[in-house]
Amino acid sequence: VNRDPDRSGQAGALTVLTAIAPGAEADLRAYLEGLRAGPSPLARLPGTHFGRWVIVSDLVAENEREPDHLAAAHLLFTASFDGPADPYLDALCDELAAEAKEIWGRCAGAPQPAAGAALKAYLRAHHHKTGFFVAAYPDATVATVRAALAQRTEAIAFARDAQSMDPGQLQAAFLERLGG
Amino acid sequence: MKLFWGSSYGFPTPLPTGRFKDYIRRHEIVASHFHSAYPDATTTIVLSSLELDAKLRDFRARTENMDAEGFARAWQAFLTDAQRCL
Repeated sequence: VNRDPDRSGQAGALTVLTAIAPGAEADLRAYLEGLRAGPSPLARLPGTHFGRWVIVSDLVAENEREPDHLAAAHLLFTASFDGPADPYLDALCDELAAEAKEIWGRCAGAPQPAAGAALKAYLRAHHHKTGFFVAAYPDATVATVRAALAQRTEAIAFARDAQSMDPGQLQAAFLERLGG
Repeated sequence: MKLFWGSSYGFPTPLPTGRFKDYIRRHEIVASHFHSAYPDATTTIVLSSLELDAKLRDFRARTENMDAEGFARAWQAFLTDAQRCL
């Protein structure tokens, strides 16, 4: 039984919540939304299945007598990734150095510049254990999933093409296209 | 759903679903940036692909030394077995 709430099979979950520095929310939002224009920086982080940055400006009241409000907007970062958290954080602080300065550099208490070991310690300090984490395919890495998806596409095409093949052609073509 | 949201203010119970969906929508926050390593694949397709991979591994091992006629019969049986993955 895996008792680490941030693990599901070989997959890990990372949740980091940081307060945004006063007056920095609009610039941070514009920067994050601008990332959509090109390839996601998270694509450069090996083993990242999913990742997101979410700005939580405030809480929505539900007729409480004393509604809770955030003293500051917060930045939520969550990711699902392959393997243990420590090397993933190392890769994040290394591969995303330029973006991290623009993102966590706008958060309260972040090291300036937000990079390297100081950033890793900052992210560790603001890490929250997951309450419940489930991965639909917990033992499959990003590389495994991508290879399986590509193989399925090829298998569908092969099944269609194979309808017109005689047994000898079929066997030879299978070994060439799906032989592993 | 009750176990997850039952301690939250305003939780309307899961049924009827309309009120519950409204509750979730009121508290939804759109991500400023989202990344998926395989954005065009649904969870169902990923699971089917992984299942197909296991079936193909087994098929390769079983047919490694077959002649062409036997391979063709095994391929037809494989298609029947694996059709839900395709």
